[in-house]
Amino acid sequence: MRKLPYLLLLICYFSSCSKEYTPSPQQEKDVPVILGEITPNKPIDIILTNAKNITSPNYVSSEKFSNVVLLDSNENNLDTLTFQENNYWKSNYKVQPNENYTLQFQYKNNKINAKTKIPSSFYAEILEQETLSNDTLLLKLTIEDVSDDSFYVVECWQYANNNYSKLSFLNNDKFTDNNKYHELYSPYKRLFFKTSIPRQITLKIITDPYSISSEDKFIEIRVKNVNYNYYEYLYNYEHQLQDEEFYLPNNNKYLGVLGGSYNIILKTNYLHDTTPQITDIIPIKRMPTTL
Amino acid sequence: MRWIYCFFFVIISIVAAKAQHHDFLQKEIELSEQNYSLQQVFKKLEEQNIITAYNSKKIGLDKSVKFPFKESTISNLLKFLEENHAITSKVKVNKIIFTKSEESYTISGFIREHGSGETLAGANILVNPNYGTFSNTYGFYSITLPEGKYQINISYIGYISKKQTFILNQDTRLDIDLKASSQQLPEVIIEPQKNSINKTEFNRINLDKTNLTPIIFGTDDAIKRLQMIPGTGGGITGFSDIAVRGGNVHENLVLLDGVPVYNYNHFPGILSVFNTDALKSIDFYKGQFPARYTGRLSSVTDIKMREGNMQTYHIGGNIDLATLSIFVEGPIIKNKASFIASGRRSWIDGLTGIGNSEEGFDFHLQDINLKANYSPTKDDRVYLSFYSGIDKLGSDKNIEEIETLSWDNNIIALRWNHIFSNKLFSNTLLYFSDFNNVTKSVAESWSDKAVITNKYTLKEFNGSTFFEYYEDRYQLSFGSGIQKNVFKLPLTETPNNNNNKMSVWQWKSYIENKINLNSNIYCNVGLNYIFYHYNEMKKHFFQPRINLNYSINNNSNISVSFSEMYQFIHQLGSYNINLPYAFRLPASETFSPGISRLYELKYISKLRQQKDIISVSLYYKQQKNILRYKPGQDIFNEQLADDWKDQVLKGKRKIRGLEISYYADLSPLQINFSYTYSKNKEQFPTINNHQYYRNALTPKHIFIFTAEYSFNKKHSISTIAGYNTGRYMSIPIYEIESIDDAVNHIISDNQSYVYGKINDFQLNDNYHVDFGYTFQTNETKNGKHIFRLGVNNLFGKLAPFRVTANIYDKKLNIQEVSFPSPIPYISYTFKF
Repeated sequence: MRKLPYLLLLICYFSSCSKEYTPSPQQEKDVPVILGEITPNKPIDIILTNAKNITSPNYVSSEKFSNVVLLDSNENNLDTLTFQENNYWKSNYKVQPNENYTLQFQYKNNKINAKTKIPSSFYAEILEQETLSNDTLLLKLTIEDVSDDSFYVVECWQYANNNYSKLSFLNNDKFTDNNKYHELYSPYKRLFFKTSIPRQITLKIITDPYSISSEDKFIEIRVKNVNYNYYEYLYNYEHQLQDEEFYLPNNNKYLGVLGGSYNIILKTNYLHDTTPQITDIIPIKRMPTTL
Repeated sequence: MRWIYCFFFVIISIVAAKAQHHDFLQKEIELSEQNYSLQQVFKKLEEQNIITAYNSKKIGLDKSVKFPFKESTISNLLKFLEENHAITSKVKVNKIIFTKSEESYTISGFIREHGSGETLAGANILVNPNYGTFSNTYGFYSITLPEGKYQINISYIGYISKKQTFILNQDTRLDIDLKASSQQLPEVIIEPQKNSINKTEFNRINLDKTNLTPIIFGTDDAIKRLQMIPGTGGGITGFSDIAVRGGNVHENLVLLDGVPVYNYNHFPGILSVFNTDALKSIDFYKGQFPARYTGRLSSVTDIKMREGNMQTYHIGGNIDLATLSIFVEGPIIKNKASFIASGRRSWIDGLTGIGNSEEGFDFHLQDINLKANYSPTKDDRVYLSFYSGIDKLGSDKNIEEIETLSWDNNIIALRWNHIFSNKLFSNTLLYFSDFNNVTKSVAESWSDKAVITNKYTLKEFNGSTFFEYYEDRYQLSFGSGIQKNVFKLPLTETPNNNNNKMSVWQWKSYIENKINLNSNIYCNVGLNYIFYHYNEMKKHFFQPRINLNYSINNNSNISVSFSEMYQFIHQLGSYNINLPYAFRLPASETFSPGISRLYELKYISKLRQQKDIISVSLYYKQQKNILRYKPGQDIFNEQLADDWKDQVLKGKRKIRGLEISYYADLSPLQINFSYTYSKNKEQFPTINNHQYYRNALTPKHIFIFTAEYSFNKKHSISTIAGYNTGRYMSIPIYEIESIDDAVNHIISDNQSYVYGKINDFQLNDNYHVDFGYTFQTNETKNGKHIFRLGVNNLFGKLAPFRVTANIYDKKLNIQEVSFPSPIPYISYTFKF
């Protein structure tokens, strides 16, 4: 262990030249933020707010949003969004798959356009379900009727005790971006993949053992076909959740994302009462629920 | 009175002779329209009772002559021969002496160091009044001149110039030895020269000179010496890397005796692999690339190893804070064959016992250089060179904690220089270069623990020949060769499967024409051609090189140049540190070879009785097909995609720059100042909406000042002061709500942080001041001893090698980690 004093000395020596400081106020203080997901068969609920510039911590932006409208690809006005509490803007207009939309609003005397596309519909179902232990569930899904160049995001949610919570899961499917790029650490909270052919996915879901006592409980697998920008945003967002030194890129005139999505929600019951040592394989075929 | 008679007698005799001469020349001679041989012409004159004299070998008696007239005076006939057949004549009474007019002869040979017999590359051979050339890489020179009496002046920086007068009336072999001078030299040499094949294309560093400047750890380093040159300062202070003119550190071709060295740094870049004990000189090109060089985008560093003393044996060595080195050189057969062998090793592990630890943590580096040469004839010389360098870092004795990183470079080269004639020189080279990088680590899976060994290898086999042909005011170089590269990539998923092998063939040819158009205009026009074959890819690549140079006067040159360079090996690693574990991959259809196009305008002038040199360069560089890691891919945290094609983005870069250097010889004080201005923008898909954005690691302004003062031949002090404006980075500026909360209508404290504009934040400016003291004894029978003592970064703020932007408690903090300071050094060098 003679090496330790030298290594310690070396570390001290090198760490002595580390310098920390807080940068002076940087860049614009008033920057608009759009956050929301537009999906067919669901009212539009979008957050429009001001970003907080962390290099100017005492500055609170008072810039307002106005004339918030939804336009189609020909720039025809489809609906005017109304302001709700907590910075939400709402419209009951029903968007359609495979259509382009623009959310237009007035900010600091500028008209800002946020564009999105609602991806095409698809089909998904749970093929097999296996309980591995009290808190581990193995699910095999299939995703079919995919269109060319589709981007999918899969999330697992647990409903128990009148609450939804997001579940972690393991996945080894090579075609997923999680396993291709190795940027996200397993267990995952979101699964990302691009595909133009039908795919099967195997998820090893880690459930919440404290929800066992809940009577009204189930698991939701939310499969989303999203547009490219939204896919990238969610991927980077997931990356940021795992790596505190990773930040979201700034590529637009506004921050955030106006996501376009086509969602399928697959529900399955808990099988926690199965003896953990015995492996059950229960084939399930059910119609997907779309929202 | 007698003198007066004599005088008149002489005058009258001359006038009479002249009159006779005149009469004789006016004689008519009959000719027909047929072709005559010169011999027949001379016979016709002899028929007129005229005696002819000539050297039949030189004049060429069979040469055909056709006269445009049937009758002519002898005077007109002689005039015709002179004007149309370059045959001059001298008339004496009734005798005519014919000679070939302006007969040219070639003087050629080697320029060598007196005593050791080391050849001197780039020595200036100036022949009064208007002819000149430089010795080539192997010390050979050749110059063709009209018959006559000349004074030849041979000069080489660091050596006493030699003048020699000679009569050139036949082809002459003249080998010249120059004695080393004790005079102080500039660190980096750039010379404007008039009337000679130009040498302003590159900077030469003569490693024979004792390095007086402050050096980190006291270890003299070939690559670090280049960092004083403007345009090379994009690397990190303290590291042996150079980022040349906005390019990255992987874009530098580093050659050791003409053989590429793939990883030219020891870990982690604080020392280059070149042991200066064994080195002779460095030629560094950052533009105006001659056509013979190819393979990298930004620079060429051509390092020459010493050949070994032909006369006497020497031993020498050096010890400093990082390494211990030793060399031995001497004749194998006096004046025929010699050798040099050198070795260097880090000593910290041996002294501290870290390397002997049972747990096995080990860090060491070592280099071995061997070179032997043999001249069987005066026209042939054969060289055999060998280099091996190893780095090892980590612990591998405990099976549970194996974590090692090791790499090695190995080179073996056989070279044959042959002089076919006094105008034709050839060089044939066969080499094998091998780079290996091995990482070992323990990987834990769900149920298993296994040692994973990843071995990356790159092998290069090359056979090539080039010729240099010398003519009056013209030099032609041409060559061709074939090269095979074998890349072997590790497959991380399956440790036992290492068959991911890729083979690339290249057929390379070049032609280079160095022409002195007149006494003021010199040009070097060349073309490099490569046929590249990798898998299905079979493509031809042409790389034009043009350099036009105008000598304003004896002291000033201005030049314009264009160079196109291709890089066929993509390297993936850190942008500004040349990491050994960076991947090197062959260019393919998907990832075409990198291209660089450089336009440059350069002015060099000597001032103050040629004591000072100023150089100003303006350039514009375009690069295409350059690779970078995708955002999110992280080599340091091993967050890398399985398929390397998923790791990278292909983009382009535009760099503009201004470089000024000024060297002043104020003996005993010498100062050097350099300034670099750079504007570097790049574009990669998916980043910044596909728009160009500022490169983060190229400082806008860099100033470097060095001064060396010698109190006498023994004691010297020196200083280096460097300043650069801060580099750039992207920092998170904005805090926004989480998308999960927004979509699911949840109110929480979860926030997302978003970058501001890309690379918009400028880090602090950097500066450093280093001081050094050198004591050196004269070279006596007790040898030469050099002691160096000094402090690097006595005060200052070095450029960081790691910068992070962290948010703690919703507050942004920037952390810069740089080399510690101050860094004292001490070293001792000896030579017997």
